[in-house]
Amino acid sequence: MTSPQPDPQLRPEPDRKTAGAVLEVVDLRRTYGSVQAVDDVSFTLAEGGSLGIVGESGSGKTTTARIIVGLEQADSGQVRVHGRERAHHAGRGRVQRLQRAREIQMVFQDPFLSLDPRTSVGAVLRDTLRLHFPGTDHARRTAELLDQVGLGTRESGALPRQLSGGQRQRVAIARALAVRPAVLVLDEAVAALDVSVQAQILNLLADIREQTGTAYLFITHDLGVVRCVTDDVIVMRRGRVVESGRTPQVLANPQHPYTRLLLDSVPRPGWDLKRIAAARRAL
Amino acid sequence: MSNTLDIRRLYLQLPGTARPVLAGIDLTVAARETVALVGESGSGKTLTSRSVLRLLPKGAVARGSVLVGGEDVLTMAPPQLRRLRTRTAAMIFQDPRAAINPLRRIGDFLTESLRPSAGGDAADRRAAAMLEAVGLTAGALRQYPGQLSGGMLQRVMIAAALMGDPGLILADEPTTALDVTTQAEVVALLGDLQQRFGTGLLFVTHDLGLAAAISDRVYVMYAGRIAETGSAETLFNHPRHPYTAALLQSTPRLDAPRGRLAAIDGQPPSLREALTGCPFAPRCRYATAICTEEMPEQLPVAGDPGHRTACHHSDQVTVGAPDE
Repeated sequence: MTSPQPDPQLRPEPDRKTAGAVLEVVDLRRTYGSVQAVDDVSFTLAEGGSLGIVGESGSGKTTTARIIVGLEQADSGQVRVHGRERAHHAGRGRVQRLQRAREIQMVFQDPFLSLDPRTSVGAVLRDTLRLHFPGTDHARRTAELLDQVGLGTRESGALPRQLSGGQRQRVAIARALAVRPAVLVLDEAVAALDVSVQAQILNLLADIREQTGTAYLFITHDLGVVRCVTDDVIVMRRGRVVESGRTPQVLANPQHPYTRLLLDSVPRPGWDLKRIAAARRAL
Repeated sequence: MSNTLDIRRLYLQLPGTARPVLAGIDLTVAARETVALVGESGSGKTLTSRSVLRLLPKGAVARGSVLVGGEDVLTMAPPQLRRLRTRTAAMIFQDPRAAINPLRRIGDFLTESLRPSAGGDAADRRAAAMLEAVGLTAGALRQYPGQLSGGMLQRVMIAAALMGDPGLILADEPTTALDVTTQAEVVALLGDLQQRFGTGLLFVTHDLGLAAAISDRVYVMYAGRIAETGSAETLFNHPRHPYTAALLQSTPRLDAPRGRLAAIDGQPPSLREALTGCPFAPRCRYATAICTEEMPEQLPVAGDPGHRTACHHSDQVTVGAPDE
């Protein structure tokens, strides 16, 4: 927490590792037909840090996340983990795939869709461990993971449909943590949860970051969540980064009109809808 | 003058459950009034709003009364019920794409309920006028749902709700699927139209901030009961129910201190177990013996007649406004 963290605005050098960075994204581009989904996106994520990507639908935040994880291909640009280009071990072979998976893991919005309905919680974790760490003590690690996300042995035997939304998201987080990833990408991971459960999961994520040093890339549309869980933030609009900086500064003193519009649009008592409409037209 | 909507002691029991899913709901909406109904999943907020159109789950048994314009929806004969659903009250759902036939044009969708009674030409004219009222052009009549964005489609749903000139609009999380800037626009539009047409609005949401931003009065639901009700300003700044206070504190807000959130431990009670005391007691930091033994009555808060709360320890609840 005390080590100096690089300003995310600072573009990483093309061939040198930025000190203290676990993830570097350089000049990422992706087009779909005539749409520039991701346009010249660069940022760095500090070791053990937490970076938020904020934007509305169509901003390119999810496409950026999917490229980083490897679910989409970029047209150009680089994604480096610990200074090493992800594309260097881009092969389709089993070893390369597993190696890539251990660098970055992802937690999705809807845990009901991202968990196999026929596989119990314990089996999900054991399968992951068997795949990545054959020949180790899976029972102990499974118990450890369940404990880390606040689930008991009772939930271990349960199927996803027997769990609540919050419990399912805990399982998804435990599965992602099982491989001890350097980076955890959370794509709207708390958006579908009730407020009281969302708070439990946000606190859990803060604890896990403190204990394990896993760095977070937090994709969200919710500025309250960004404020709560990130150190740095980038604001995306139509594929481009329009503003970036330390989270408290960006939220307290936004420089780009779009960031200001996003902040003004958060519902609160005394909400000025006329000003929001005018600002939206002006953009 | 009577209220546009007047729900009195509404109980709803679903088959195979140990306790009523709605347990004595009292709720009113006056003309031109915006009332927010706030709660988490399973609290019964959606069932309450659906009961206004008697859209009840199969096998549900309702007691009490749901008066719309003075008539009880629960005992209404089929012709009156049809009239209620097409004219008197209208509902806007969360996901516009799930509520509209993707293979039919916007114009067909808007006019289908009006066509039999008013005739095709009158229905078309009304549809064009309503589209203009929600900020779209009559050109949208010829378009298909797939050609419109989520925000535009939700405007179409609002236009559809206004087609029968209803006295009451029930909006169930109408902006949850929208982007924040679009949400602001849709909410502003709903407010404008409501003033223009004199409609009462029941706005169902899980978002206490949104409820406080848009409504005159708020009802907070927990486990099938109204935990607390009062003006939006009062509930947001001086909640008198521990659940309302906890909900406020567990919401990540821009104006609250950073760091850990005050999460509410545990989960809401299951429908499979009967309740003896206060449903919130197992998760409540103020709970004492009486809370697990006796269901708290909903009582007015001293000095504020519109503010009512159902808590044995309401005078101890102090947390609330971030500036206090």
